[in-house]
Amino acid sequence: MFTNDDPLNEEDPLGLTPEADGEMFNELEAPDPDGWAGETEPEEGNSGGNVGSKENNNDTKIKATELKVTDTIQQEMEKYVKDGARIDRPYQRSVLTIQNIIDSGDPVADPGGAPDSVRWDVRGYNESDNEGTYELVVNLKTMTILHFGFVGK
Amino acid sequence: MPLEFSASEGDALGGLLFYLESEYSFRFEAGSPVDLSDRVGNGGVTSLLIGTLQIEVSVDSTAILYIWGLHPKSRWETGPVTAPSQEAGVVRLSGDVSLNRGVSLKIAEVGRWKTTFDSTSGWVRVSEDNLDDERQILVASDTVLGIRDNSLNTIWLRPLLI
Repeated sequence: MFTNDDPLNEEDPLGLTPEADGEMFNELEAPDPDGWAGETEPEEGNSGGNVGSKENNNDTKIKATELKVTDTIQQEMEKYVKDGARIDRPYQRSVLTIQNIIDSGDPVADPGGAPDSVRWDVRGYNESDNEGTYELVVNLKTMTILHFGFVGK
Repeated sequence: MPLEFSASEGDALGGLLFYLESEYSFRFEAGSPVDLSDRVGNGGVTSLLIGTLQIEVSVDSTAILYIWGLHPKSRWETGPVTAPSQEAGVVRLSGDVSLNRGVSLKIAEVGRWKTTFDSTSGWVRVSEDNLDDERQILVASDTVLGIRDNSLNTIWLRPLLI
């Protein structure tokens, strides 16, 4: 589990090894020529954060292990958990899922207007094999995940 | 196919609604975790998304629970927002809808619905086209859903700004 005080710098909270997590999420698709992650144009007048080009993105690549989540997301992650048996959005606890999303392509400035923030929309499957799109918004200044959802197809 | 909503008698979920400037997000803290858990049931939750604003829903009952999530204030307009009527009740998704735990449904893309904030009344109105609601149901503290033609027409929120 990751919190504001405990960045994602330890083992995957689901207990998954990189290999196992890779199997679990190996259907997370890389961006295709028709466009998914990183191809949504920000709204006109967007004052969101800078978005690196593909060239410099490699130099400034975000590491999921360095990200934290807002207290609000953290609260939602923990709200219904009883004895660890009740997790409604398990993907939110997978560092490797987050890294896969980040690695899928360049993000865009957050179209919702969160300052200094970027967004990825990446097709994939969740742990129950539902097809959908991962949505991830990260504030680059605070290295904080502001929004992380999975929208069904 | 648009989602359909229906309202029925019931008690609003008690709690506190916040807007956290530092997180650009709404947060709802239930007054009674037991009450919330009872409303959720065993099937877990998912959410309906208006941009990144999340309408939390019980998968079992399809009842709307509360509102939370990223909704940056920088995109809000300011203007008069009068308080809606606050008839307590329960709003559920109706019709042929299938919910899966943790798999959100998108109602509108980012920026499609407009948000208006009135600093005097404290109310925030989120709506697509400002049409009048046929019914306004208080589903959780300081959280009113406006229904029109069996569709979600407006979200009314009066958060504590922190």
